[in-house]
Amino acid sequence: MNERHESPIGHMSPGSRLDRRTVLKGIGLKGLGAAVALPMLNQMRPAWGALAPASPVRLAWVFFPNGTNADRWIPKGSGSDWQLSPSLEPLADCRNDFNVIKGLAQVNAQSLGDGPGDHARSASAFLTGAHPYKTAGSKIRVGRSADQVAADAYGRGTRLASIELGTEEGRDAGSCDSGYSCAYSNNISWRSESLPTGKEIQPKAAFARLFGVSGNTDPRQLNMKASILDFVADQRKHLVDHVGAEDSRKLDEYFTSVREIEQRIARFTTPVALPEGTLEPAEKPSDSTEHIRLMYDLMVLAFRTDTTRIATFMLANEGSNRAFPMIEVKDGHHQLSHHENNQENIDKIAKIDRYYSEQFAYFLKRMRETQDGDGNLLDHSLIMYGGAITDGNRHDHHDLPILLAGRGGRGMATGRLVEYPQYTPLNNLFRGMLETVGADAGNFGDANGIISLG
Amino acid sequence: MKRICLPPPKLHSRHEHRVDPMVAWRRAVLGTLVTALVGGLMLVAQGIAWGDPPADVSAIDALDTRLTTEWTGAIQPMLQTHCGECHMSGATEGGVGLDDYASLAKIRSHESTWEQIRGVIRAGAMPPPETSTLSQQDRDQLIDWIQRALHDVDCGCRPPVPEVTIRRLNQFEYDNTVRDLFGLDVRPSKEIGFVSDDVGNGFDNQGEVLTLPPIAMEKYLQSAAWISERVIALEREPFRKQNFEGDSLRFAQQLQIPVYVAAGKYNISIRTRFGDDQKDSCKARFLIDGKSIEEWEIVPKDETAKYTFDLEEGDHTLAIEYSDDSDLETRDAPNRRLIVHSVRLVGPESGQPAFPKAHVKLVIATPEDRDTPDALPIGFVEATRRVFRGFLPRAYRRQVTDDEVHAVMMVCQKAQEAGFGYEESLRFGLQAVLVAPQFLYRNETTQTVANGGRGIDAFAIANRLSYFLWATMPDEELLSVAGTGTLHEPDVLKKQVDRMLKDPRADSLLSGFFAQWLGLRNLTKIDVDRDKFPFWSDRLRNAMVRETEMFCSSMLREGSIGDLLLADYTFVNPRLAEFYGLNFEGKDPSELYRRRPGKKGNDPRRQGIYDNEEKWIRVPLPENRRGMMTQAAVLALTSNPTRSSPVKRGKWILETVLGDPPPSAPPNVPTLEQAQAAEGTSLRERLEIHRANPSCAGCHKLMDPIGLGLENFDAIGRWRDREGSVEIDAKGELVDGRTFSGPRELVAILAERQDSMAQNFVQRLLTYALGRGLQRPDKCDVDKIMEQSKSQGYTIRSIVEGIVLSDAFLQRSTTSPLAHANP
Repeated sequence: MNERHESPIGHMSPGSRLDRRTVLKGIGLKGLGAAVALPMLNQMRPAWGALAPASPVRLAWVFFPNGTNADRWIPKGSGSDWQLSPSLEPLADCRNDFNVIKGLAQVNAQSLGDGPGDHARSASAFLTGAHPYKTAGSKIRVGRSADQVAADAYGRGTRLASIELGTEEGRDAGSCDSGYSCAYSNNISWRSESLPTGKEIQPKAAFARLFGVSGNTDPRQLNMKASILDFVADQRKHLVDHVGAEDSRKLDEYFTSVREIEQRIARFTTPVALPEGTLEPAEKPSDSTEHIRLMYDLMVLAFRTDTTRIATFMLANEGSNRAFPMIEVKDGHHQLSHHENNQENIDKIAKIDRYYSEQFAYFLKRMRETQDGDGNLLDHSLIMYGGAITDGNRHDHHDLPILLAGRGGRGMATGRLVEYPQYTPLNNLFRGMLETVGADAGNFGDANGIISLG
Repeated sequence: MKRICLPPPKLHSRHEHRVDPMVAWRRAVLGTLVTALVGGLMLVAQGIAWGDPPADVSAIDALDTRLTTEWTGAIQPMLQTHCGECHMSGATEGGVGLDDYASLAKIRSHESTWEQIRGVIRAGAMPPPETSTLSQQDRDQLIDWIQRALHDVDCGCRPPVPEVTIRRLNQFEYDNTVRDLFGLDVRPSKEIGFVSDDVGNGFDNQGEVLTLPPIAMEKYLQSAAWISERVIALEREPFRKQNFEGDSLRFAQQLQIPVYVAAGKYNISIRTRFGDDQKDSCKARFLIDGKSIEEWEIVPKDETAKYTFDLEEGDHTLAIEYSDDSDLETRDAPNRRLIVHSVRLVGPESGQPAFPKAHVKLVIATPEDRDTPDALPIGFVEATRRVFRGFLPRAYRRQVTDDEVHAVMMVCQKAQEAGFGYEESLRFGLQAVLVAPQFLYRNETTQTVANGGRGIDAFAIANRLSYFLWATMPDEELLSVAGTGTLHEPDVLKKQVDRMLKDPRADSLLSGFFAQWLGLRNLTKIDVDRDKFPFWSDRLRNAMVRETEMFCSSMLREGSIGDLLLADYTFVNPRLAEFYGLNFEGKDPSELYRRRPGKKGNDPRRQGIYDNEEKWIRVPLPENRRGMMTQAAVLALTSNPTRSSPVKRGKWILETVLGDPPPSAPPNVPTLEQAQAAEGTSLRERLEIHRANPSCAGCHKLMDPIGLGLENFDAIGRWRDREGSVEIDAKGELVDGRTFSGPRELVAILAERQDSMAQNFVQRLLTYALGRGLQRPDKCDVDKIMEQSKSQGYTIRSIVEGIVLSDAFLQRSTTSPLAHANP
């Protein structure tokens, strides 16, 4: 399916008007028609610059919500002798580029006495391995996420320490899940235990942030930006009367963000050199396949240009009730995930799983096609794909569907089905991933060891 | 005499031997102190030192004493007997363990757990009905005790309320504030693509949930630069040629262009075409400030009309109108359109060109100004001082210090030193202000008030009022009343509330409060199955939301809690009128839709147009609908993509309207779809199968009858008599035994619970107004607001007024910790 989506950024759906896509400054509108078969997607040009000489390792985490049809997701077999499961079939071409890892768990997504709310807990525990404090609003706490541990230790050298992408807004109404604030269901990346990193869902805004479309590199302008941040950093004394602990925390949040941006501006004064003819994506696409692929494209471009080395992507928010009309699934995902072992529902869940696998295959192929140093991007990446619910009907958080793609810059053996003892913390795998970039987080979250990636 | 309110004593289980009262007291004080610190409370012990022994131990909070006695004597043993096997002595079946609750404070700090416990006991789902020996009397006692422990307060002895956390402006407030600060019609959050605000306690304006990660700061910086370029013009020149985007107009529609100009002669060029594929022509009219200037013929090819006219300095509205059509029969056809490609305004030919209005309003001084006695230019520094002295109090929405002004001036000065011109330097100063915490956050100055609590000053009150009722900054009147220092007086406050509710800005409560309370935003996320429900479209969805918003707008100004449920009117446009089967201005519903010319068939998707689709009127409801519960938006958002959901509807009404949510389903209990049955089984029958399971029955008998009473409305809220081959049976009996025969009677029965509805409404609106979740001590305010509003028939207006006058709204923390003076 979806052949026509091969190149989302360059793709123009029939009847769409020219203004659906704007062109990067400096590239005339005139060439737009011709630019449709797009360099951003077709970037196998070997001589592309801006690569760090030693091909840095890139880390990414891709999250899907609501669990799976586990019978059709988890492959059978072991070692190199295993069969692709029906839901992973779209990844057949990439079979030798990833490992499926069985037996991992995120036990802090379990209720542990907090009652219902598995969706909120699973998203927030996914990359933190921490148990979220149950609250609808005050004192939101969970833990620092693996990507942010990496960002602090390893992300300093790039324009952005990390990027966080998604496809669904966080603006819900009411509580998102049984008394948990929506912050828990809508974020997998946590800058600190109380601060979700936030995520970009508009491809256009994400592009601007990554590559600084509006970024002015006039040194006088940059100096003024620094002066403005100096001014701001000095305003705390004018904030009267805020002595409450939460107030201080809020203001710390603000001043920390100011400081991080100050440092970033000081470090990077040149714009990212993008491949010639790269188009800036326009608004949020109405087609969700195109949306997902645009976000994957942005990840590839960000890695390729070494704009960042760390990324997270939420394919949808946890508990998302989105329907999938493009694959004839018209019921909401969350509603279906409570499938009650009804065969029709289970089949539909498998269809959705498969759909997501197809999109992921698209991403892996793009990574593999993109030259990087002495190999391709996938050689130098570790991309974890999965969720923190195994089966949406049981809401279980062990034997998770987890796949790790890429060779991590160290020729890691792939194409295997690896099994760990049941209830091995997922955080042990994060530690292994972090180890490849020299970020030793110790036993963060509930880690009790390390899965070293050879 | 000073009454001393002590924290609750420790809860004893009957196995524990009694401790010396003084020891118990010390322990309890310490425990509470720790809890309070952990809770981030600001402890201002005014006159009461924590270590002092109490003057009169018998004055311990009467309520808590009673609760403690009951716990020891009855509740704890009852839990031990009926729940102990699975939930005590180390057992934590279903993740629920009851061992660790040694104090009232502990129970209260796990409110959601205990609400769930109360819910399942009340619904009869626990203890497991198969084996339970819990008598109804004991059950009632348990439920009642938990209810009181969680929610009752001794208002004479009220514990402190957590402070309102400093609040960042959310996207909506930010956009509105920028709009009102500069008079610019812009939406920077959309333009820049802000990261969406998280939701807490059901709303997106909650202080603790409004975080500010680095990405948000980046967006604010970008936005500030973007705004500063739009507000401050570098020179007068760019103003000479202004290009405006065109539009595609249908008959009688207007393209309006607001401009701010200097006096002089102007030329306008209007490039048009009559489309699509038209052979004849239509007429267009050019108007200035509603006055017709020219009328001319538009033909089906691109042409440019040029006119010259004089304008006075100031605001004007230029307009182009599709004014006449030679063919009355087809003039409303969707492809008969006056296409305005572009509009260009050039001028003034003579006279001094002007700056844009926002610029004029902000840049009130230039270095060249000479108004000092020595007639010398005032210079750069003085000019920036004047600009920001004038601007800063509005941007920070309070009085500012010279230091604050000076800091901004320094940014301008640095720009000047770097070689930037005056206007460019001002842009940098403006950017600094727009990313300053004083602008981005709502920064409140406190003052001690009469009862020992920490009040907020008049400017903070003005801000709370304007962000509550308008979701934007205070206007000049509000700030000037704040300046007189009388804003905390009830009569002055009431007068302001009255004025503010009349203002169109109060419509912010529709999308800010009502839409979030009712969950209307979720309507934009549901994916209705278009094959099953061809009538569904984005236009219909938008019309549904608009209907409910207009209804709420009318409630806000002249309705009551009862009217929300029982109103016999609503608002429709022609599309909704057809949907509801209502006449629209005398026209039969079947006459409202105009097919696409040339299209055959009945076009169930309604892709063409309606006459006057933009027109909204108030109409009486048909017999089978009453109030908001039967509005299409509510019925659609409580459905699944392929079918209606009685369970969701029942749950929605209990939770959203009555504030009495059923307990959440435990994760492993099968829900409705499990009851898979042969084709042709009605949803009602499938639900019955499901309810046959005793662990489901308890909760579902609360929800299902309500939802089943609304089964005559399909998944998009349309009336139906049958579902497939099965006739809809909307009869039912509520859990309390009251029966109904259809939706209208159901609504009437539910409306009898007006006090619950009012209480729920007050709690939600107060949560929105305060930007924080409510705590147990807030009950004193809620009760007071309810009481005062009940005497006025629970009008929404009286509730709004009650909230504004409440301690919670006018103070940062409502009482000093654990102590206040009693006469």
